[in-house]
Amino acid sequence: MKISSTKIAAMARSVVRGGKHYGEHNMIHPVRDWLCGFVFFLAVCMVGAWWAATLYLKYEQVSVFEDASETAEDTNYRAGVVEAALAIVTARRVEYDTILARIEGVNAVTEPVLPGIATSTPEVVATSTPTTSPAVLPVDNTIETLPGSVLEPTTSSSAPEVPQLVQ
Amino acid sequence: MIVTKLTKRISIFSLTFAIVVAVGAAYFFLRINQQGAQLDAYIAVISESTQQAENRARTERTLTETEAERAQLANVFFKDQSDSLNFLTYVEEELAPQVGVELETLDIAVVAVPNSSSTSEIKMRFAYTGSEEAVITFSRLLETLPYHSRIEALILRRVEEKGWEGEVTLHITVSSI
Repeated sequence: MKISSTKIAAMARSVVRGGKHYGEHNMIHPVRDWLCGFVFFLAVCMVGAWWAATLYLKYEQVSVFEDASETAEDTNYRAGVVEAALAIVTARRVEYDTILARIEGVNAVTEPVLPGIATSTPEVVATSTPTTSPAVLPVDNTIETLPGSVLEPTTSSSAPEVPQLVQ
Repeated sequence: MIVTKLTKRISIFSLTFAIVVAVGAAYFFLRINQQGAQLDAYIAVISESTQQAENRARTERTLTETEAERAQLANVFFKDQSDSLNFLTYVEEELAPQVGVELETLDIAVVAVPNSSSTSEIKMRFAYTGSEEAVITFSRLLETLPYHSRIEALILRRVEEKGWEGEVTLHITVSSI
């Protein structure tokens, strides 16, 4: 239907003056009421659906254990400090052992090797020469060291054991 | 405008029904919110408990993994004051003769460490005589003792008859941790 310009002007004038000719006078208007009710129903349904979806998404992802493992605090163990302390201790230990080893080496060199003086094993026979022979033994000025009669120099194995200061 | 009885009934019924539905919806809305808040509280409690259990497990794991190195560090300290007697015995009877110095223990005392309730120090004062090399070597040994120690004072002097003489004040930490 084509609306002429005069008709539009008349409608505008009517609206400006109060719109009496275009108002709805019926209190009950089935189409309007059904339409309003349907729109209201849709709005309520949409709001309800949105709210239900929000609640569902909020509580669907609830996982106590994942949250706990993510927020668990690391134990405050300063491994770097421990490593640094161990390095210092090890360095001191090495230096201490080096000095001790040097002392033991010096002691081993300067320890006199006593000649064939039987100290703890007096029954050891000096030579293999038969003692039953009455012949005079030839004079021998060399001093032979008897096995088992030599005072062994102090070595790391025979030195007094240093207590285990650091394991 | 004519309002019939049927219109009034329908209006009243509609209004009543709308009110009942609105009140019911509001009630369920509040109940759901309350239950949700309660669920959040339960989750927070369970989460905190689980977190504590996780922390405890991690701490135990750390303790197990670091047992060796902690024991190694613990050996650097005197555990109690009786360790100082063992140390004195070792120094007097083994270390000093091995180095070749004559040792005399002048003093031994327990010294408190400021701002620490779990640690103290054993303060020992030694005097030793011997050759120059022996005295210096013994001083170096005391300086590099594999203990948590410090030298407070060291005096080395040359003595005409004895060679060299040293006097050292040594602190070794006692830790009761």
